[in-house]
Amino acid sequence: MAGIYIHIPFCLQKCSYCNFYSESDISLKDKLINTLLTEIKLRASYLNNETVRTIYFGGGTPTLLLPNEIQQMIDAVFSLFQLSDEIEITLEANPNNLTEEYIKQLSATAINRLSIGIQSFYDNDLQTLGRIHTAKQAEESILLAQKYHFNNLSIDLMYGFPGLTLEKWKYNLNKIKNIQHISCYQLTLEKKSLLYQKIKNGILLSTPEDEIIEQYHYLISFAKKHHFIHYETSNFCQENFESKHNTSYWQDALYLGIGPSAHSYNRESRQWNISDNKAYITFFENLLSSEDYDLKGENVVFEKEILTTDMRFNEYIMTSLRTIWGCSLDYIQQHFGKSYLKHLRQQLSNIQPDFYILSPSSLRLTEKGNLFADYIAASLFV
Amino acid sequence: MQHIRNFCIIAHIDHGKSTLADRLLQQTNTVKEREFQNQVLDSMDLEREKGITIKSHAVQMQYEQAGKQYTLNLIDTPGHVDFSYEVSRSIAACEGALLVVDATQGIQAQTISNLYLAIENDLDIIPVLNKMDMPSAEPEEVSEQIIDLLGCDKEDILQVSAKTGEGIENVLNAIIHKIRPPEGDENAPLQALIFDSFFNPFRGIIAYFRIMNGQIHKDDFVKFIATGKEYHADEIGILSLSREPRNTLKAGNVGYIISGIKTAKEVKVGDTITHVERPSKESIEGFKEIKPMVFAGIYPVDADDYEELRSSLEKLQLNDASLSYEPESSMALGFGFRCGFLGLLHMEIIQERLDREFNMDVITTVPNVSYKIYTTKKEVLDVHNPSGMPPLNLIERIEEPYIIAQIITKTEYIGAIMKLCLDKRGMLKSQIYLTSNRIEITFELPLGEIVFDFYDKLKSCSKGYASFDYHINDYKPSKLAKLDILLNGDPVDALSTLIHVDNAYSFGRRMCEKLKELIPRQQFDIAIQAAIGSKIIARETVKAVRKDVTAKCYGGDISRKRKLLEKQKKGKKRMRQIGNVEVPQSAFLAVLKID
Repeated sequence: MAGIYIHIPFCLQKCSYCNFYSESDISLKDKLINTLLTEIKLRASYLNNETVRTIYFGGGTPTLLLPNEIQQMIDAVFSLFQLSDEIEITLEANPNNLTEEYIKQLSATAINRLSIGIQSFYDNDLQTLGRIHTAKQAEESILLAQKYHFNNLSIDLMYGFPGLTLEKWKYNLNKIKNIQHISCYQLTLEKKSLLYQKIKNGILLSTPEDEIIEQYHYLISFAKKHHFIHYETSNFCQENFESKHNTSYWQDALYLGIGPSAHSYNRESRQWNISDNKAYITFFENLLSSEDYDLKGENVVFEKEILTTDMRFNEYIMTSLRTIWGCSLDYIQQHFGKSYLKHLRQQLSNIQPDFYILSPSSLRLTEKGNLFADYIAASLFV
Repeated sequence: MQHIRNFCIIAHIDHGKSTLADRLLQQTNTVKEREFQNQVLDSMDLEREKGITIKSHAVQMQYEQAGKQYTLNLIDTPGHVDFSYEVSRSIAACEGALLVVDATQGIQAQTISNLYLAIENDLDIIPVLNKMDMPSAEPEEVSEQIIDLLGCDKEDILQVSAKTGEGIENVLNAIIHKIRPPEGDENAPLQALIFDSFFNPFRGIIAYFRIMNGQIHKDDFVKFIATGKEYHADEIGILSLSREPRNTLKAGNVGYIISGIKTAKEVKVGDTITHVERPSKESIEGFKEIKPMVFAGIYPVDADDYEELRSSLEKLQLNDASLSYEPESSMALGFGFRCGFLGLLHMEIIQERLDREFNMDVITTVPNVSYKIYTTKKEVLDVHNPSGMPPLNLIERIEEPYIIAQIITKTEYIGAIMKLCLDKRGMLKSQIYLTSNRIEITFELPLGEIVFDFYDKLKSCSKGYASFDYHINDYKPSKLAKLDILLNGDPVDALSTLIHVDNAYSFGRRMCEKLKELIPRQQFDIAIQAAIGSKIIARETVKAVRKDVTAKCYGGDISRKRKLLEKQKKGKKRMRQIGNVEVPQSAFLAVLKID
């Protein structure tokens, strides 16, 4: 089973917390779409004929593309890859782009899951976060999506950022209690982000740790009350509504990343495309105009890291322990070998027993352990 | 013998001793122009950098005057209080001394104490005002200081600039005419004073000596009186810029001997060399076993480097007999060595040499002095390690070493320096105005207070205008306590200190505060406590981490995140585990610099 990620590297406005790659100049949009199509074609063999179970349009802002442009790319994937019958195709959406007309067109495409980046239902929070949409647009976008039968919806919310009180957090969560899937991210202050600068310069006050923890605990109790399954550190869903695409990242599945800055993984190496729209486009144009389609000079457009077994084991531990399923001991034995299993058991002795549950088939973290998943993972690394 | 002159140079750090020596070597053609490298005598890099001489050196120059050929032996002395015994032996090997004083700065404490040593040894003193080329030179005022000290005439004071070479002829002239030639009986039984030794990887230990009486020949069988060991003189010779072998050396001269000695411990500075046959009945006066005064644990940062540390210390000891070490182990730091040093500078030098010459990464624990503990069983224990302290109920009394410290400073800094010394439990002994604005203060101080941060504090409270010298006086009763640091109830032996009761509370509190800054938050609260016996005197808490998990970990985040956690894990490996608490190396180092 494998997934395909397609990165749409445009944002009209950069969010204050974001350090992902995007460009605000969308004049290259058409060229970029063509290049994405080219890359899909040229890299059709990357997944070794494994069945594609998910396609995910992320960004940037994928909803800056027209629904038919998105469908073009889906068609390209459909024509070149083995597909699962129950393929999940997700589109990350900005509320301000989700007009009735747009959603209507979307409903005619193969997109069957929308992930709407709402973050907060308060305008002043949206301003702090540098979001381009309003609270009103956020509420409307949900209603419209539901109206057009997108019944696998995901909403992103954020907590722990300057200005969000517990009261506001409760209000925000209450707005999405009937949604199938929610992702609630604690603010990560990225050094290259505007928000980091503002806090550093004293323009904004960072939230005290105690308040963040309080918001987190409220989130956990809210999820329980409304029957959300807390299936990954920051992800909650109604039964059977996990994000299949994201879950594959945490279960050592293959993925092909298309577009500038996208990462790909095939269990031997990880590679990531250049974070530069122009260089990305130029590379593939030159490639097409040359006589042979051989990917010569491929290192110009991507960087690659060959993964050792140790590295892969560490990654598997690090990602799988974030999930409710934990890491599979069978999987470790099969894919990494018995010695890794032994190592894991040995290292566990250094970890507080109330942080994990070790069953004959898996190692997973307790609710308490979830809070320290990074520390635990690092302790279990080889 | 009439044409030999043996002399040393007494000077404060930076007053131009090495530069003056360089000029003398040039003027006497001992060094050819093209071989010249500034500060020829300071052969260790560390010496050049610190601008102080750590080891003694000796060099012979030939100089012709009025048709007579003179042999001039310059014995260069170490320039720091830590090495005052070596200085005294170098002085004992000479008949004269150049007293070099920086004309811009005047006399400093170090100079005075070495000058007294020279006067005690009845040396002919030639006062030299150096740095006369500097616009800030104050020859009048500094000359007065010298006259006060020596009771000499103003005309006796030479004015030179070692930098420009001005007045160097006069210095050579004075050496010949004002310093008396050595005395001694060439036909008496051999008596040669060892004033230093060096380790040569090919030849073993090379001892430097001054012959007081008798003569020594190549292939003689000699005996070192203090150690009682006998050797064959494989090679003897004089020290020009390099070693020059000779067949015979006679009374009055300075030379070296190579006799296949492997370890520095066998060659003790101050020992007397004589012949196995027809030995001298007496040894030369003044021999002392030098004892380390300051002790600290040295541990490898990486526990696997223990054996390498041992062999590095072994090699260091080859050319530094005053370094002592013995294995010790610490719960917190694993296996290492308890090392004894002459003083703090010596400790610093050893640390730096371990780093530079052997590439060893080490942790040094809080230094301690050597205490005498009188037990209720009427035993006397020398304790220089907190862990060596017997239980409180077995201690009758404790005595600690005191020093007599001389500080020379400008009058405007007296207040600050007095306060510092009193804070360090000092007792004012005397206060003498050298000139209207320079004063010499003498304090009796516990050595234990000096080993910590006294130098730094003295420097900062006098803006660098204080010079300091000390010598060990005697042991006095002391109210000493063992201060323990506990992390979540577990004592950290590497952080224990022996400290005066009056200082224990504030020191304990500052230790806890400092550790709170340095110990990273962990999954649980960490109690940092300072305790004397079972009594807790200070406490801080490092609050537990409440959440340690990244919000997002998708396809593009995995590589970066893995590398970050791998780095964290690596960092953790370098930490020391105390009970369940992880303590970074920096914590052990930083407590040395508490103020």
